[in-house]
Amino acid sequence: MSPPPSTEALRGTLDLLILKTLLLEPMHGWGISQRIQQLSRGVLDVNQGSLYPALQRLEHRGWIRSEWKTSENNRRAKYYALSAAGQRALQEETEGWRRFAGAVELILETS
Amino acid sequence: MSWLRGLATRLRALALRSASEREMDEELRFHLQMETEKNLRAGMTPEEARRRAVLDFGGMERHREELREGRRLGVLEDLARDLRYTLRGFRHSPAFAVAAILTLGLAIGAGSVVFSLVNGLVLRPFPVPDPERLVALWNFDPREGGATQLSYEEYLDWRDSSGIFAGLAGQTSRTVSLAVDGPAELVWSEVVTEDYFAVLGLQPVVGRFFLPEESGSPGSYPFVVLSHHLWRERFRTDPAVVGRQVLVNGHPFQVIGVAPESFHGLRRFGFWPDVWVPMGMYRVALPGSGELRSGRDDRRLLTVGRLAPGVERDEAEHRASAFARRLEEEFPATNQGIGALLTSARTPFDSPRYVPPRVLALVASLGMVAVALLLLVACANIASLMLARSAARRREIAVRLALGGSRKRLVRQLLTESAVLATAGGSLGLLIAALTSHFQSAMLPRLHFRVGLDVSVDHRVVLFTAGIAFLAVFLFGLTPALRATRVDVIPALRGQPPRAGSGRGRARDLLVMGQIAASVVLLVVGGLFLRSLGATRTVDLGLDPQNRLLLSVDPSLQGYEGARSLELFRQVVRELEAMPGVLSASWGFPVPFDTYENSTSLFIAGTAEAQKRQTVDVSMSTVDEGYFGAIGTPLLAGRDFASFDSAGAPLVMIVNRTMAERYWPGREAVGQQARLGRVDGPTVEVVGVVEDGVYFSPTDPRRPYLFLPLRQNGARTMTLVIHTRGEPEAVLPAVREKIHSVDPELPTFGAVTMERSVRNALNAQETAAVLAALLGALALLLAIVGLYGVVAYGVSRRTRELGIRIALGATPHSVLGTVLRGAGRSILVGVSLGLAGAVMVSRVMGSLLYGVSPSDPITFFSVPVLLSTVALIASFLPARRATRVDPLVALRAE
Repeated sequence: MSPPPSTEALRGTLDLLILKTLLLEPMHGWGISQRIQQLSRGVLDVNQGSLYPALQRLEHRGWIRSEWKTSENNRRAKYYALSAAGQRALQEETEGWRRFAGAVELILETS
Repeated sequence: MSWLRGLATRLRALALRSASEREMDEELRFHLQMETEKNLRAGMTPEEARRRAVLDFGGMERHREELREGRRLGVLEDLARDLRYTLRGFRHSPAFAVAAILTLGLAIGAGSVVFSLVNGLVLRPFPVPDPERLVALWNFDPREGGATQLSYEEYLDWRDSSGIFAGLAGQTSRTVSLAVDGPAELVWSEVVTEDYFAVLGLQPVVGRFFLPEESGSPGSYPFVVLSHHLWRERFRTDPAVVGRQVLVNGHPFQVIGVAPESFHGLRRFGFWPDVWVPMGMYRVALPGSGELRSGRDDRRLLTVGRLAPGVERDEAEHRASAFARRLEEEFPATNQGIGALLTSARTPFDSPRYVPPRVLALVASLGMVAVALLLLVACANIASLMLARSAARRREIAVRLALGGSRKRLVRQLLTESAVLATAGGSLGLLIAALTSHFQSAMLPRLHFRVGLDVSVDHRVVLFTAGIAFLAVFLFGLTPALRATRVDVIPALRGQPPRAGSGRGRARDLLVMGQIAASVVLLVVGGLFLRSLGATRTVDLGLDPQNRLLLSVDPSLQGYEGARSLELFRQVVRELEAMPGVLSASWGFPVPFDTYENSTSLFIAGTAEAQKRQTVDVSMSTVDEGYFGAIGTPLLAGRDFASFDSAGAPLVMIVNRTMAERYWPGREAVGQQARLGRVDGPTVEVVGVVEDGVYFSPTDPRRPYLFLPLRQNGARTMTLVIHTRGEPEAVLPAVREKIHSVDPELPTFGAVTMERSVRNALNAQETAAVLAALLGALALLLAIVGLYGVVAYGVSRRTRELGIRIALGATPHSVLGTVLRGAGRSILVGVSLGLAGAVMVSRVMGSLLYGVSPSDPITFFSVPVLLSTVALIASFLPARRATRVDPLVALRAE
């Protein structure tokens, strides 16, 4: 597993990843971390310490909602789901990320 | 919208704190479990799986802390935490909290009370919309000394032709007898033009008010409006009072409405009316006063108007002068030399001639200065207390600073303490003010009819109280808070005493000096008022106030006049003098201190006015024979009135000593003649000279005064003066019975002893003196407490130094001297400052004092001496403790 990138740079991106993950279906915190690892083909291993503060942050902004439900193995877990505002935010953040990444790429190309 | 939901989440988390904690724990534990299971599936042993999971997850506590951090609502939660901390701190040191709250409560309470008085005196407007547009209209007659009232004709001219007013109303006031399903009683009434209520803009509590278009011809509008007080007392606030019939001066009237509770008529220093009668009914309401339109120079109306839209005060005044000149030209006989004067009628008002606005403003300002001083003293005390307290908490503050607490946060927490104290103190103060307004009647003179200032707590008083409480927080809270957090952390943690810096000590010394100075000012003011009051008590009244009972009647209201009323008066006196408890009885009006005034004009040959064919105005009373004996005024020359001084006989008068000396200097006044009423009026001869007295207020300067016999001058209201053998009050019921036996229908009013009447006249001075003295005493008490605290603290701070001194052989005397020297310096500086301030303040209040100069040496000497003595004693007690310091203990303690 590669060392996780610095917390600062990842914070905004983590929010984005969480939102995208929840777009498909609601899930609990652990599930989100596993899914991100999965979808990134093992590159991104979410620092557990950043995950829950990020979830809390997103919830305070009203982009995700939470609900206590029973998990697949019959345990109580807190499930998060995307809200309407969250969906809109996801779109905006994605565009923003693409612009950012594109710009960085441009600079790296010129040498 | 989304942030709203987010906010809701945070509030919910805050509110259900423990529940949130549990949820958080559960979520994190779930995560750990899942991770552990994943590791198990990957093939690790259970212990390995668990260990790996925990390692990967990181510190649980750190996560929890981070999550908690995110939950905080910032300022709001800090505030809640500060509050809880503060309250806990107060619970640990209740003495401090109680002392601070009491001090603040008393000071703010006193301040609110004074402000309520000022509010009732100058600030509170009529309870109508746009009171700033109301003005009072006066004739300005330099010959009469300034503002005078208007006649009905003049009122009509101003109302209809001047173009200044959207509406102008006229008012005159006097007693009427009012009967509500039973015997009549005398009440104070305002007889008003029908547009009175419309001009003012009042709203009735029930029913309605007079409508000008309804009124029709004079005598055809028998309706009255009642006061709220009367409605409560006689009708128990029954709304069905509208339409009820009452008898005014024996005639049936119908009640059409009730005035608002806070409306007490137009005048501030006038009786509060209980009934309003329309001017169209003047024949009934003002019997014997002739026609309404009885000449342009029969000036009996007080007028108040609302400025026409678009007309401002300046323009109104211009137009008024111009209109007055027009009236002068049109009616030179009556309006020659008479101008117009407009005064503000935003608040209840009186004639500017009798109640100069400057005096009111002066009294109000003095009151506020006293309040400010008292508040400063109280805040200085509390600041002192807080400084001492924060000195004791140095260690705790140092620890918090060392652990990374921000200084700003600490200051905020200390300010929270101040805010809590201020809120509690302010509430207590408001409570005191509200309670006091209930007892306002004790501060007021008890006169014939209700009178007073409305000192109830209204929004202005509440705002003021809140304002000074808020101000107090910063006055006593900020400096200690700032100072306390400027702590040297390391020495504090080690428990070492702070550097013997002059900083903190200097601040407290300055505070005490300021307190002492403020106390000196307040005590000097109080002392001057007290001495003024004392001087008024020793005035030679020109009569004997002991064992004199006064009782008034107005038989004209029952239809008596002329010979019939004279016969009534004679009969009453005969009945009364037959009583064993009565030495003598007679009639007079006005009687001294009665709050009524009467005067007449005389043309006296040989006076400067006579050269110019003008009359002089002299105050007068109408009295019966035997009056001077009954009231105890010595006859100096000539004779008293007799039964042969009757209608048809030559006119006679009796003058007082000042009048005799002024108009007939160096000659015998008895036998001199003058013309009564006009330059060519009937001749009246002086038959007696009596001793001077004071007639309106004990602080009046000597003035000429004359007396006319009752038999030659009809009278309406007359006051019985009864010289009793024993206690006057004991005789009252029997007197009433005797009068009742002469005429059962005749109501009496205004029963009072002469002594009480004199005290009533002095009421304003008495109130001022008592208030000022109380404030001064309060300030002194606070200053003493402050001084004691400062000296005690100084001693405790210098324990080590004093211990060394004693160990090195210093005598108790020298130790005492060391400590007292510091205190003595504070006292000296404080008293000097205070005296300087007192001199300035006393010079301003000179016009309010009687018989005592503003730089009265006795007051200016005794106050500093008293204060210094008390202060020295207060310093002596803790200083004495310094001499008992055990050097070994002192050196060892830290």
